[in-house]
Amino acid sequence: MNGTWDRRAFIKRVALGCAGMGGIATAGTLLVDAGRDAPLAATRSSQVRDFRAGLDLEEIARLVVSAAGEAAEATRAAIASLGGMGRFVRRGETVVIKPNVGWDRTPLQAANTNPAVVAALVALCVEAGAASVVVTDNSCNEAGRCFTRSGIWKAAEGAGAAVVLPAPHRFRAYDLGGVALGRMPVLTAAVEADRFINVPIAKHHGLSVFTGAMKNLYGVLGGRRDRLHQRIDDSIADLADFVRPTLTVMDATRVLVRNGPQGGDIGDTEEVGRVIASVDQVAVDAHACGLVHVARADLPYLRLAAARGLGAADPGRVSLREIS
Amino acid sequence: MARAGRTSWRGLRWARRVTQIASAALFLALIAATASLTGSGFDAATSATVPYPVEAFLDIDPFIGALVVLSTGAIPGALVFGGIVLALALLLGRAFCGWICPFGAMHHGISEAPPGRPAAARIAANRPRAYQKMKYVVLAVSLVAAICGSAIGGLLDPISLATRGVSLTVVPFVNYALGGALEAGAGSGVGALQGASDALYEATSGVAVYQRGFLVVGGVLVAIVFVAALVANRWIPRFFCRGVCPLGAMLGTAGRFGVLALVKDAEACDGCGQCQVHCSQAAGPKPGEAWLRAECDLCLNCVAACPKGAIRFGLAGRKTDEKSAPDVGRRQVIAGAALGAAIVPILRTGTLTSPIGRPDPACIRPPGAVDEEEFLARCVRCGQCMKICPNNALHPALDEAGIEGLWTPVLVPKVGYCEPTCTLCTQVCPTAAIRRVREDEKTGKNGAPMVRIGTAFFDQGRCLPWAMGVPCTVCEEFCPTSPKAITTRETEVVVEGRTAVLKVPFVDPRLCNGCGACEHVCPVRDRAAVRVTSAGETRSPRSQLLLGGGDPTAGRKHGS
Ligand code: SF4
Ligand code: SF4
Repeated sequence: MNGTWDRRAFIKRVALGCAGMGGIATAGTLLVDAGRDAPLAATRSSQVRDFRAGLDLEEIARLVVSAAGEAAEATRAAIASLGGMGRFVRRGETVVIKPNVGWDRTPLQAANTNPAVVAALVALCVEAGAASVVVTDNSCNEAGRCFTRSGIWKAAEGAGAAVVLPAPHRFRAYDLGGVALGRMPVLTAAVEADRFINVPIAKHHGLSVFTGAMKNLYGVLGGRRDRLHQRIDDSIADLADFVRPTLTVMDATRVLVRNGPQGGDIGDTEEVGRVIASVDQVAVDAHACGLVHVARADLPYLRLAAARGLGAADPGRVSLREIS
Repeated sequence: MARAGRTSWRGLRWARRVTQIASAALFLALIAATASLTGSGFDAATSATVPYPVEAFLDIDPFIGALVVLSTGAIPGALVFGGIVLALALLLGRAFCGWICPFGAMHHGISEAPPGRPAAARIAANRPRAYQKMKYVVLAVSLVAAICGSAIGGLLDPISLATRGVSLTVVPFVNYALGGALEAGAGSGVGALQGASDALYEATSGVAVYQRGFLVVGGVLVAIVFVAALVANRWIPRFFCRGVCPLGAMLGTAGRFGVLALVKDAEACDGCGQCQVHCSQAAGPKPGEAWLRAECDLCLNCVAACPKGAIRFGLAGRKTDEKSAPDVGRRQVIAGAALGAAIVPILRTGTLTSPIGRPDPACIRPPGAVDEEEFLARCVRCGQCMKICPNNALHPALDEAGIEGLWTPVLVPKVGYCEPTCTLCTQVCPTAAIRRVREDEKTGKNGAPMVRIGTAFFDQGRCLPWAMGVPCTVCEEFCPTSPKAITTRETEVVVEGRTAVLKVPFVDPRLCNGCGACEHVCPVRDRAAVRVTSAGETRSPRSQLLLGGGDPTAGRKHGS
């Protein structure tokens, strides 16, 4: 040591230093964020969820309006008239039932689907041999309270369904590929099943005038739903295009005729005592809007959906069957 | 003989530990219970009522009782339980602190948790010191401030501080951590992990409410004080109990003529100092020094630790070397009292947003809150209302309610709004700063006058339809009153020379209850285009907006 220096040790250090710098440079190159130069993703590839696959539903293109007794009975009669749940749900399949559980309201206020209708459908799916039945919705108010106070949590679990509440980790981005809606977070539990039964309630709505089957599909979305109002008719048609339910069963036992979509007063509701079922969700809306005193002509989204071949905006084109 | 005695003291000490742990567990369970009022076991009616006395520990706190009695002159119903605890203190001094107080148990646990310190350091830390006088001053300030009409003493009440700390610091933190874990698990793409995170969610969502925000408004300060109080134990064991706690000071003072005394046998003592190593309150257990009755919490550590059986608890009566009165000078107490009297007007000076006598727009109180002056005389800032709110709408104020209103509840619509069918916060307030409210009072049904907490105002320059000709009215959709306070009218709006006919929103101040749902959902996310302020709140004559505001429901009619 003392004043002398060791050439070999020096070379070793320089080599090590160079190797280190080289390593860092390589790692940096590999890890560099390419985002800056990457083209903006321009995906418009719709990931349509068609829950009719493998079923022959053409021949049952009709609309059943059931007034056969109380909610549960009327529901069962409506499904029986369509040929029984076995036509829609096969043994071993998984089913998601999507009622409207949007609001912290009790059943009499008719802002959410009647729990008896939901329970009856769950039971029918179980009887048809479904492997599992999930009841879910992305509520507008606090979800725990909506599911509890609507009576749907208790009724659905009692009938044998699993209730799945929305939570941030339960959403995944899907490309809706629509005119107004592109990539949006979707409640995975709502769209990951073999069969999808949409169970809306017929209601008045301040902006879209009527909220029924197609509007009920808002409940599968997460994220910034607050902007959908800016193009509400296109949004509704986009949703109906993205989710193609196996079956739509509309609760019109008690409907909300003003102050929708929340109501809040029994005085806002009218007793109608009907359950409407069809494989054609557009036809269901076209028929049901009359129950809350809204004219079909006032619903642009019916025309938009029909133009995309999603169903019949004129219920005269499907055979109507009334049961009492 | 000595040995047998020591064994039974040890048994009793175990009894104390079990009681402490059970009490702390019950305390935490009652806080957790506020999150599980929904589920398949509840229906609309049962979910509307809090089934457990979640505020029980606050009810039995005689310091809180004293504050409210002094500030309002009335004895609040539930707080009579505090009288029982106070009566017990007359007999047993601060036994409550050593055996029952859940915050005391937390301090005790942290003080004793490993790694321990060497015996000499512990003896030094447990020696009686001047800082212990501080709590008597805190007590004097609090009580006199209460007489002057402010329940601000609640800031340092141990039960209130612990409830607030756990509810507004620990719970949000746990939520935050669990939420992160869930998202990581769910986003991992690994089936097993996704399943596990879902199971974790199901298992914990009944105790933790996941959308609960982390440290909002005055919450940061809550967290700092709570964490500091706990961490201090690592330097001085049970520092808060010894130096700060006004309840401890009160119980210690009350126990002056208590029935138990530490009987010391100086002959048997060999000076090993084990009693001082383990004394939880710096109460002078060692023979030769004065036992400080007002400090001792009867934890029994000293008697269980003494290898010679030289100290034991016996019936008081004989003169022992003890100091029974609180170890604080009269002058300090008088100074504290003077400060208590002065502090109220000082704290009530106006702030920029609310000069004296004018309401602050952001001071939106929970439904059922009594008028501001009485509210400040009652609210002990325990945070129960904030914890139970299912929408996470209530938060501890920083200066929204003036300086005095630190940590009192205010509604922050941007975070959450007040659900009109929910009355949970009105059921858990221990001091009736928020009186009980029925659901029909909140909705103004069945002829009940509607409880209004504020009023919504449109900022037409920011509203999409008003300012930009873009359809929106999400506010109208969410407005929960019936009939809706927000109505829309088809209006011609001119934007860049183009005329559009679209629905623009208006608010009817007679129908608006100030819930804040509109502000919460407005897609203008930073500063909403419709905002709620405390104007028109029914609790306060000075906030009234409309002439004839006495009956806010006058003129209600179903619109079309
Ligand atoms: S939600 Fe906001 S932007 Fe939309 S109409 Fe209401 S105030 Fe205007
Ligand atoms: S605050 Fe807004 S949402 Fe609530 S009642 Fe008033 S206008 Fe309706």
